[in-house]
Amino acid sequence: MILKENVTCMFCGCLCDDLKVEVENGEIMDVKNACVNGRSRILNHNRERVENPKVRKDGELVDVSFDEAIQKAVNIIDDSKFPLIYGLSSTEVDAQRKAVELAERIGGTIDNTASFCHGPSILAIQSSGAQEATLGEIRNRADLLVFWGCNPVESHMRHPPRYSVTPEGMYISGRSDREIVNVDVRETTTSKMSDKFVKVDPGKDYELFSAMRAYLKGFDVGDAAGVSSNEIEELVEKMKNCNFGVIFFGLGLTLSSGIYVNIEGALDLVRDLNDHTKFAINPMRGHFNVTGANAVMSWTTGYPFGVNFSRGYPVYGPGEYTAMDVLVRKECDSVVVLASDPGAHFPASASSHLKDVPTVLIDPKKNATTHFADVVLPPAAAGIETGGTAYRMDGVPLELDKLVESDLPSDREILDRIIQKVEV
Amino acid sequence: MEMDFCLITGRTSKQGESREIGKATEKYRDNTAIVRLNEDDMEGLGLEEGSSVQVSTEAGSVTVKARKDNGLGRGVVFMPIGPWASKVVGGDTCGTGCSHAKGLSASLSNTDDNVKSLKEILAG
Amino acid sequence: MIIKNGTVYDPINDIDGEKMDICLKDGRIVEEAEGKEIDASGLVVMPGGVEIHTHVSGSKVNSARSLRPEDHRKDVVPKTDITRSGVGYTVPNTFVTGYRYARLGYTTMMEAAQAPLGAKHTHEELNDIPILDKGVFTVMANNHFILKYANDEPEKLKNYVAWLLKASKGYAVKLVNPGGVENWKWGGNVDSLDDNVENYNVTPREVIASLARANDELGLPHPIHLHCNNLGKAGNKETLVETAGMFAESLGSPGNSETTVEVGESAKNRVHLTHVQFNAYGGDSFANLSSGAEDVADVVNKNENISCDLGQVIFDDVTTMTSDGPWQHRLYKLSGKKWNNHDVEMEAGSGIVPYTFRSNNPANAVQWTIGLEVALLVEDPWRVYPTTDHPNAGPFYHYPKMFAWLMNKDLRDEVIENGPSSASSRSGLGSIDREYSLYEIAIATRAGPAKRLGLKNKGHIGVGADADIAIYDFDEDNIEESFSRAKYVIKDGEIVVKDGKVVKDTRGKTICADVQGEVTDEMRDEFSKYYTVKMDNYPVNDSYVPREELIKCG
Repeated sequence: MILKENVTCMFCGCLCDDLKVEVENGEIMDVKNACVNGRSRILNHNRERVENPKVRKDGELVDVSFDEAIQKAVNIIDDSKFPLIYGLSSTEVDAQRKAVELAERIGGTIDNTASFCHGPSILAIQSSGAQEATLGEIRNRADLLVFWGCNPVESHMRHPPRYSVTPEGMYISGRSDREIVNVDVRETTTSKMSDKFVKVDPGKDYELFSAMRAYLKGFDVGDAAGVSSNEIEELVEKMKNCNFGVIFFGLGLTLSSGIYVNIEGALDLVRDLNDHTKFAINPMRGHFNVTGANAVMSWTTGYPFGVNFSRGYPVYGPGEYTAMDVLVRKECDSVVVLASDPGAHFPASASSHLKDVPTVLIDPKKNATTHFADVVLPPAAAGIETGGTAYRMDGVPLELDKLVESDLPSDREILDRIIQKVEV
Repeated sequence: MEMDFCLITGRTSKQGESREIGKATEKYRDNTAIVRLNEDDMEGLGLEEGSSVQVSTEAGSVTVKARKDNGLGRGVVFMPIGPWASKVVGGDTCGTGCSHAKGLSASLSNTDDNVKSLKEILAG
Repeated sequence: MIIKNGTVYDPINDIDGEKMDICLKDGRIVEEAEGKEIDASGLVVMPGGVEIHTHVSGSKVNSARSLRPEDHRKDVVPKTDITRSGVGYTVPNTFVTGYRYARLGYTTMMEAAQAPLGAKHTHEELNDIPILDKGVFTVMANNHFILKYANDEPEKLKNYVAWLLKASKGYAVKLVNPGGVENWKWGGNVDSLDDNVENYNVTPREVIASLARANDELGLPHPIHLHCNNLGKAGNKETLVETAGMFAESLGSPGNSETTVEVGESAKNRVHLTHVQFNAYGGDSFANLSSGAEDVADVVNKNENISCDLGQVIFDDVTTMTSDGPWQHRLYKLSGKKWNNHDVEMEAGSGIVPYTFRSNNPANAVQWTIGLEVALLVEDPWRVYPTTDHPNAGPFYHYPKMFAWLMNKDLRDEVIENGPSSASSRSGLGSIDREYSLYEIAIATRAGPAKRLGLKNKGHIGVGADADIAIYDFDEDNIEESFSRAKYVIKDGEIVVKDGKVVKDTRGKTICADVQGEVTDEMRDEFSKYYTVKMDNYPVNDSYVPREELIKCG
C-alpha cells in the first residue's frame, strides 16, 4: 500500500492540498481529510466512466478506436462554420491552453463555465475593481467574515474549517476571535453556523448594498430590501470597526436578478470600506479549476471568457460569444464540450441545441451531455490519473497529482491530436 | 391546488456527492429531482414527503419530488441544480452570458405525474 | 551563420562601431563559421537587448489583463501562419508580449516581480512568452520570515533567501516598499526608513540592509533590486537619497549593523534602484511637483555600487501595477480610476490602477523630464538603464521613443516647448546638451544590464556568448523608427525576426539562480501554522521550467 500525502483535491475552488490517498495495486482504496464531495470524486473516479471512445451511429453510441473518434471530431469541426468550444473548468491548465489553441486555429468561439457562474463577478470587477486577499490572509487576520449569497457548508465544505471560520491564524486564535455574518434570502446550514443572519428580499441585494454604502458615507437610510434601517446601521458599523473584514460571495449574487450589477454594489461598498479599515471581497469559485480557465484565457487571449476568433484575433463578447447565448440563439453549428456538463446545468432552452448540432464531448464520465454527444473522447481524469496545475479560488496555483495509472490519453493529448488534424 | 413561490436553485452537498458517482444513477435522481419547501407550504398544497409536485416557471415545467425543509421561509422553494431544475430555468442572459437561476417566479401544484429519468428529461 | 560586414557595437568587448563579421554556430558566437550569410553592410549590429525590469507575467499582470478589456480592444493582433494572435495595449497577452519585444531587438527579459506563492503561475505564463530568455525577481521585503529574521538572525535570513529563491525558481531578490506592504495588510504603510513595521519590530532600513548583506554574501549575480519606500509621493527624493546613502559605506558584517566599517569600494554592498523616476520628486504635492533628478544622479555618480533604471514616463495610457499595495491605493484616490488590490498571505501584496500620462498635465510633464534627466546626468552609462517600468510609466513599445530622446536634444526640446511650462521651470532637463551615442545606447540597453544582472553570455557578441543579436537599419534622422523594427533579430543562432516581422516562433530558456537553502524545523512549523498550502507543495517543480539555465553564485 502506498500512502500519497499532500494530495490536491479536484472538486471545488477550495483545492485543499492536504489530502491523504491510499493506493493499492494501482487502485484508490481510501481518502483522508477530504470533505464528502472531494472524497466521492476520488473514490468514485472509476464509476460511470466512459471506457472507450464512441461515435453515434444510427442513434446509438458505439465503441470505436481513438483514431476513428478523433477523425470524426475533426470532420465535425472542419464542416462547421461557427464552432463553439465550451467548458474547460474541470481539467488542468495545459488542457485549457490546448483548448484555446484549438479555438484560435479553427476561428471558433471559446467560453468556460464561469460565464454561468462568476462571469458576472468578472464583469463587475471590470467596472469597479476588487480588493481580494488569499485565503491565508483571511485565516490569519480576518475578524469579521460576511458570507453573502453563498452557502459554503454545502458547496465548499472545508472552507469554514480550513480557511475562514474556525481555524487558528497568526492574529486570530480561533472561532471566538471572529464574528460571522450570513446574508441570504433564506436560512441555510451556513446561517446556523453564523453569529448573525440577515434576511434580504430576493433580487434586492443591490438595494441593500446601496443603502449600506449610503449610510457609510453619512446619509440617513431607511429600511431597504426587507432589512430594517437598524440592522443596516448595525451591519455597517460592524464592518467599519473591524480590524480586517471580508465578504465571501457566491451565486446568490451572480444568478439573481441584476446579475453583475449586484456584485458592483458589493465591490463599491468594499472599496469605500477601505477608507475606514482593511476590507476584502472574495468570490467563492465553484468548479475546481474554473479560476484556472479564466487565468489561462486571460493570459493567452487577454480576456477571461466569452471569446471569439472568427476574425483571426480574440474578440471579447459577454452576451455575444458566451455559450448560453450562442446556444439559445442557435448560432453555433457544432459544439466541443470539454470537462463540463452543460447538458445537465444549462437551461433546457440552451442545452436543447446540443441535440440539433454535432457535439463532441471530452469528459471522463457518462454525464447528461453524453446523451447529446455525437462523439465521445474519454480522457484520463485530471488530478487523479494525470497531473497538471489548477488555480484555487483565490488565484493560488497548485500542482495536481497523478495518483494512479490509466491507459487513456489526457485531455491535452486528445486536444493536441485534434489540433494537428483540423483545417486551419 | 396551485400556489406561487420564489424559486431558488443551487448546489447541495448531496447533489455534489452523488454527481460524482454518476448522473444516470438513482441516487443522483433522488438527490436532484426534488424541490424543498416549508412544511406549511406542503400542507397548503396537499403534499407529503416524497409526493410528486409540478414546478412551473415561464421557462418550462418539470415534475419532481417534494422534500420538507423548514429552514425555508414560507413562499420560498429550493431545487438543487441539475437536469430537472434546468427545465425551469430560462436562458435569457440580458446580454451578460448568465441567466437568472435564483429568485424566479414559480408556481407549484400537486400532480400524479411521475418523475422522469435522466434519459427522459434530456429527451425533451 | 555569418553576419558579414556590419557596423558592430559590442561595448563589453570594446567594439565601438567597427566593421567586422560575427560568426555563429550551434547557438553561440564563434571565431569562424560557415553557412548562411547575412549581408549587414550599412547596418548596425548589436547584442540583443536585455530588459532589466518589466511586468509581463504572473498573477498581478493577469489580473490586469482581465480587468482591462477596454485596453485590449483598440490593439488587436491577428494570427499569422507563424505567430499566435492576441491583443495589446498596456497589458498584452503573452504571445504578443514576446513578439513585440523581439521586434524591438530584445532577446532577454527579467520579469520584475513575483510573489513566491504564485510562482507556478508566473512560470506558466513565462512558458507562453515566445522567443526571449527570461528570469524573474522574487519579492522578499514584506515576507514574514524575512521580517522576522532581519534584525537578529542573519544566518537564518541568508538561508531563507536562498531557499526561497530556489523554491520560486527566481533569479534575483526583489524589494518593494520594504515593510510598507506588510503594514498595508492592516491598512497602513511606512513613510520613512526608520518607521516601524507592525508586529515585527523592524524598520525598512533594517530590512534593506539585511537583505543587501545576505544577497552579497550568497554571491547572487544581481544586487538587491529595490523599489524604494514612498514611491509616488511628492518630495520623495529625500527617501531615495537617504536609502542610497545607506550604501555609501559597507553595511558591515553580520550582526554588526551598528558599526560603520571603513573599507574600500569593493566591500560596499550593491543595490539596484529601480524605476527611480517614481522616487525622484521634489515639491510637496502633485500641484508643485518638481524634478529631483539631480539628487538621484548625484548619489549614483558618487557610488559605483549603485545602479538604477529609469521608469521613464511616456504620454500615453498605462496600467500601473506594482507590489506596492498602499501606493496603488493612493493612486486610486488621486485618479478615481478602478482599483484592484490583492494581498498574498505571508509574503506580498499588489495593486492595479489604470492611468493616463498627459502631455498637457503640468505634473505629468515634470514626471516626463525626470527619467531622461537622470539618464543624462549620470556619467556612467554602465549603471543607468532606460526602462518604462512597463506598463507603469508607459508600454515598452515606446522604448525607441525613449532612445530617440536620449540621443537627440532637439527632440527633447520639442516636447518641452510644446508642453506646460512646468517642464522647464521645475526641471533641469532643458538645459542639458548631452546626447547619447549609439555606443552608449548599446551599453545602456545591452552591455550594462547584462553585466549588472551577472549574465556572462548576454549583452555581448564576443566568442562564447549566446548568439542573440539585433541588427538595425539605423538612420540617425529617424531614431525611433530605426529601433522600432529590427532588420534582423537572431536568437540562439536562428533568425526570428526579419524586417520587423516575426518569422520564427520559438521558446527561450528560463534563467534561475543556482542557490540552495535548507528547510529548518522552524520554517516548517511556521509554514504549517500560517500558510494555507503545504510546504511540500510550495516549491516550483522542474516541470515548470522545461528549459532551465542555472547561473552560479559567488
